[in-house]
Amino acid sequence: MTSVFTPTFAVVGHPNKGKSSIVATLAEDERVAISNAPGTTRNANAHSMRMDDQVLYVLVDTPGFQRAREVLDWLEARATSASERPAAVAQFVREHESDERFHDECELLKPILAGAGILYVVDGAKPYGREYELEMQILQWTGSPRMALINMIGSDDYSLQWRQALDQYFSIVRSFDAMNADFDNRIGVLRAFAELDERWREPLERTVGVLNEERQRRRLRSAREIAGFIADALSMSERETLVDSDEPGTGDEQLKQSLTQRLQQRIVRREQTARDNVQSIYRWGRLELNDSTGEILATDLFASEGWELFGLSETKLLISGLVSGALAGGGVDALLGGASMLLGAGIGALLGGAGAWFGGHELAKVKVLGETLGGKVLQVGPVSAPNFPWVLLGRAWVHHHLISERNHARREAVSVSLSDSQHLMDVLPDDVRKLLTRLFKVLAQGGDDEALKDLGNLLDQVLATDPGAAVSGP
Amino acid sequence: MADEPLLASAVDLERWLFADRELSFEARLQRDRQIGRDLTATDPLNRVLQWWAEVQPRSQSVEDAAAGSKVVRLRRLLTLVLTVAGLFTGGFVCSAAFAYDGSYPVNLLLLLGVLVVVPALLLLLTLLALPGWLPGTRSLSDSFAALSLSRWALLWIDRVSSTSAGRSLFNPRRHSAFTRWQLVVFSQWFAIGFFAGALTLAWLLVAFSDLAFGWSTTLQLQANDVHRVFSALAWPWSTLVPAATPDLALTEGSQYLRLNAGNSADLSVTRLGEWWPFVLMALLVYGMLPRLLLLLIGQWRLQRATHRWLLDNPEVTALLDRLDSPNITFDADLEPDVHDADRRPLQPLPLADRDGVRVVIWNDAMTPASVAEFLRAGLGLVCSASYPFSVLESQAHWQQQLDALGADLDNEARLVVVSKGWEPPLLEFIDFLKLLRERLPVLRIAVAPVDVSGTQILEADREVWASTLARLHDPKLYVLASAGMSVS
Repeated sequence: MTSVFTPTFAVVGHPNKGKSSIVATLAEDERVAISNAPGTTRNANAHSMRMDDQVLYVLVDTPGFQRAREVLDWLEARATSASERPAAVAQFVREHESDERFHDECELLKPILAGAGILYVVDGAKPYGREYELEMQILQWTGSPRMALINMIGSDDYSLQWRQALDQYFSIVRSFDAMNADFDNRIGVLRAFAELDERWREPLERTVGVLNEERQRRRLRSAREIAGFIADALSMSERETLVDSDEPGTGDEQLKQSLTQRLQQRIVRREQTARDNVQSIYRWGRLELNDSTGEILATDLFASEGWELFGLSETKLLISGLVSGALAGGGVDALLGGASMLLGAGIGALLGGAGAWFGGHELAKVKVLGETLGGKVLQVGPVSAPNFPWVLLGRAWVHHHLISERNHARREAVSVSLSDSQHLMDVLPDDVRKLLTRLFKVLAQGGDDEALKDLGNLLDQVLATDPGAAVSGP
Repeated sequence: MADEPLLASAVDLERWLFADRELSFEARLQRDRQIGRDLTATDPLNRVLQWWAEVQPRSQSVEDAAAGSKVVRLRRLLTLVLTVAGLFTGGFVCSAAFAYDGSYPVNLLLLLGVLVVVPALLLLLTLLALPGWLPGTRSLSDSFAALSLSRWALLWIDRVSSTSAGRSLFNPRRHSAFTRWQLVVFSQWFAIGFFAGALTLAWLLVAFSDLAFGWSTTLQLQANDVHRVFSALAWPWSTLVPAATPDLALTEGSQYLRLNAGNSADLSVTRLGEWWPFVLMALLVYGMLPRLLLLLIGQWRLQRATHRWLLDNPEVTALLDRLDSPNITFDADLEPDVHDADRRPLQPLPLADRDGVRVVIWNDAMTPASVAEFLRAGLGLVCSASYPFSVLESQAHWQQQLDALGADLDNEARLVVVSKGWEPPLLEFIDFLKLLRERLPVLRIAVAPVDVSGTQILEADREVWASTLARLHDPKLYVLASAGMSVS
């Protein structure tokens, strides 16, 4: 359902100046073909942003100008006054629609003639050239509302040159780095669109509101996804029936190793599912992870260096253990109506702290359990290492940061650079860490839905913050 | 039971949503939002149930689809088993408590102690242990629950109906309210069975045997005191069923001492049987009725807990989010990527002489001076003359220029066309090359795309130029590479 006032913008310009990148970024569509080969976009492609069935605005990706000189010559031969220019452009399209020589020009002019605003894209990292004036003149002749975007494709900066030229042809000129634009930049461009035509102001302001809400929703959805993953990972275990052996111990050890491996693989698969879902929430369907520091984020959840990077430091871990133990002991105090003089909390804190300090290197508990119908089973897990939930969270936090800030124009694998600073989770505020400690404990004991919800809401707050200087990307 | 359909849905939903996590988020969002927009209910529970009614038929696994019904059937069966067990237990305990061989009357104090006071104490403990009733009673409640037959019943249901992924349906931590109230309800069914059995057997014994009741205690209790207790116990039904209210004479006359050879003092033996209405009413009012009341409360709370189970499930929260939040999408009909054209293998350009080359500067790619320097420093070539061409000029002007250029060249001459390498080769440049070829058919033309700084462009950019110019299939057209000349 497209209303007559649906803001529509044709993204036009010279070939290879990032038109498709801008469309991919604004439309959050990684499927948009982006290439440095000219003519990658052969036809106008409309991208409609919809809220359910309602179209909020439309972006039209178009081919670049190929024969601007000839087009302008044709137009100049037919329009003797400014008032005739838009009609001449329309006539050009009508007469050349089936002419293969002007296919690209017709494709890019058609949406403009249909009422689309013009979004003219240039590369501000390359010098201005006089030949661009031909394109700008043609666009001027259409009489449509126009805005120019200076896209910075490289490191050099010629934006001043460009601005001086563009100001003469366009009512609004903005700089926009399609590859690195964050959410606020994108919203800024939409707001600039609104300035082009009074009729578009209200629908575009609404669109901005919708996008802001969607952004918050995505973060909460991701937080819930990560909370679910952590809860699952904290309760996973592997078990197998023990077979009587002549040499007790040997077979058990092998079985223990095999179960440990199976448990680790299950957790890794679960982490991958959570990541896939977070990527899907942010409309990334086919993204690969690539990590410049030894593929830590990409593959190995159980590598010790990853635990150093993502988890808590020993000091914080000790404090976390103390808090966790004190909470458990406090429960006993409460049961006894305070008659224990807080002895429960004290002993709990000591035990929790000792557990965190001495048990920090043990990955998972190994138990031999009796079966109801006789026989014994060996159970490995759940993972009891105190740093485990923090490492899971640290990795998920960094992954979310990369995904949520990444721009859909980028095509290379996701790369993260971790600085020398370690123990990412140490940056969390004490009160948040305390709450997380309690929730991890509840969830590790089987958990309840309330704790899972609380964790989701708390992680929503955590994800809203930047993992900090320890991480650079995307 | 009223909560049965809800329980079945809660179980099925939990299993279904757990398996549904395998589907990508986007696919779930599309599906659920589409359904969500057509739902008529406004409250979350009914929205979820309506969604479930829509989705359930799509469920592939018959086993999965039947899980909820299975749990409900199991629960029904266990309720029956517990009630029947209670019935027999009650009958058994009652037969022991009413044991009468004619030597001594049935001791009312013992009878009421076993059949009323003990169950009443158990009831009191149940009430104390109810969730949220008193602070710090959770551990107490857990301890009782661990010993409870009802708990075993619940564990059995859980074992039979757990998901293939090993997720416990009745995890007491995940569904604490449901588990506790289900335990309460199970316990009440057992208790109701117990009192039903006790009452039935008591009535049968009254009807088909001659019972004599009396009271006896080692304590120094006066008949008046005991009568006050009996009267207080009978108060609730004293006006409705006066026959079930013992009078003082009956109480006094019913006291017996075993050393007295079982004979009650000063009372007709036939009156000792008059206690039975009081006993039956005591069992009914202090045994059966509180349990019925607690069963009703328990059922009501269980239904609420089932609601909560369903709605508190984080997967259901996420589902409601998908049902209710607008779906923000970008639709596009995208054409497939265009791939580069076929290219012939690269060959060195035979341009080894040092005679000097003519240069066309396309679109102000370089100044004439910098072109000469570029050729000399980069390729060891001498620029003998340069000719600026621009797309800003008309084709007539180009032709005029090309005529002048042609006049300066012999058939073996080479021409270098310097262009802006940071710009892609546009069709208007191709048009220019075609015109050049048309005017100078035997000329070897080498296109040299240069960088902004007047040096060679990146290999990736050169590839773009080479592949584009290759489409011209011109055997004498070359693209200048950093290491020399190459043919495209």
